[in-house]
Amino acid sequence: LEIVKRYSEEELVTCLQSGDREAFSYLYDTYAPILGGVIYKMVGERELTQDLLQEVFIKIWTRFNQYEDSRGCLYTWMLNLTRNHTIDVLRSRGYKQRKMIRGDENSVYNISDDHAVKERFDTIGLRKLLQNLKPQQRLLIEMAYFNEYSQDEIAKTLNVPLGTVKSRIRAALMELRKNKS
Amino acid sequence: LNIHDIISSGLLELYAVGLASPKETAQVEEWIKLYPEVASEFEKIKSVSIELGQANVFIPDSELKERLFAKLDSLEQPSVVSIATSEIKFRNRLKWVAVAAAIALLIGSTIMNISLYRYNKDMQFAMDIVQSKYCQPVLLPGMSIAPSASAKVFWMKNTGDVYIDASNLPTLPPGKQYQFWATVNGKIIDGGMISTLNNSSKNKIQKMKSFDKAEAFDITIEKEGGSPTPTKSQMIVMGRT
Repeated sequence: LEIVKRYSEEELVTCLQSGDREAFSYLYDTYAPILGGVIYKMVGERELTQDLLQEVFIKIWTRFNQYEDSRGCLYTWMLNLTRNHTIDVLRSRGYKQRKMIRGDENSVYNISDDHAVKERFDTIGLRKLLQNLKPQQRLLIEMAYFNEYSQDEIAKTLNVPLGTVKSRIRAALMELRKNKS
Repeated sequence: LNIHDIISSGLLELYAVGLASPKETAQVEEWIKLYPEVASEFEKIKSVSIELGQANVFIPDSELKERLFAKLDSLEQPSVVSIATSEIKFRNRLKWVAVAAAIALLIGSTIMNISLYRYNKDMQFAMDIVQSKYCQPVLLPGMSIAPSASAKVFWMKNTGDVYIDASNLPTLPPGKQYQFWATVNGKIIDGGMISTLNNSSKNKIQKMKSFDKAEAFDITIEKEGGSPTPTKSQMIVMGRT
């Protein structure tokens, strides 16, 4: 998927500030697959992913003024919003109950669910992109980019200091940059 | 902290993959603004981050986009929060008409105005509206406070979309703004603020809130940002559909 540059980020932001639907449509076309990919990695269910994706884009539209205040990187802002919204839902009572009911009702579901989890970490495109990374770096990228882990949680899970998480993520991204060029 | 330290801190990467804490985020955003070298380094990191995302896309159903936009439409409909009943009188050009009305108090809901299109686009946009077979024009003649004022509403009968040409309204002093209202089943409903920030926006066709039905439209002069209920003595134009 190649991003067609029809708007520069600056133009896009200006248009979105004025409530331009056309620009929002472009934003959706460009970023919905990417943000949807992040959500899908986290929840592993197509229908739920679509619901969350829609909620995320409504938030992007209605809370655009919050982005304007920070004037940071639009993509990072959307990525954060997507991840935070998904985490909120995953950790909500309703979602946990829903999962529990499913587990009770149908134990077969659990098996296929595990299977789905495995599949989630096996997207062809991602595997190809990450193939040259060390296993440890690959795991870190999976955790950092596609999971509901915070920095602290990654550090705890991997049993390394916080500073090491930072330096390893940096090393992994540097490696990806090298592969790219 | 010098540029090199910033770049090798790992914070730019953390920020690019969306893992920075709020404090770190604010710090990185400031660095990017302050130092061009940091900004250009970040651009490279960001493109890797986007590439990571692109390696793992999820293709939503095509209907999802339609559902999303329909949802945005419904969010922009005015929401009636509480209704206060009081009798108010309205006047049209020919005669006084007493209308028993309940006044809908509206909270919040600012309006997205169509704005800042280039001239040609504006022209095309205006022509598309005026020429639409569904377009019902409604003339709003001036009331006693400004008999020479007027405004035109273009009401799309298929979608309920309301567009207004406010170019024949007098320029307002600072702190004042025109507010658009619709009378629906005898109730006065806020139709949104008319943008008069500068002359050019006033001269453009502006999109107001949509109404599936309405008996009349009018415009009042209100304080900037609008009022929950119309100031009837400040009604400048009014027309029946």
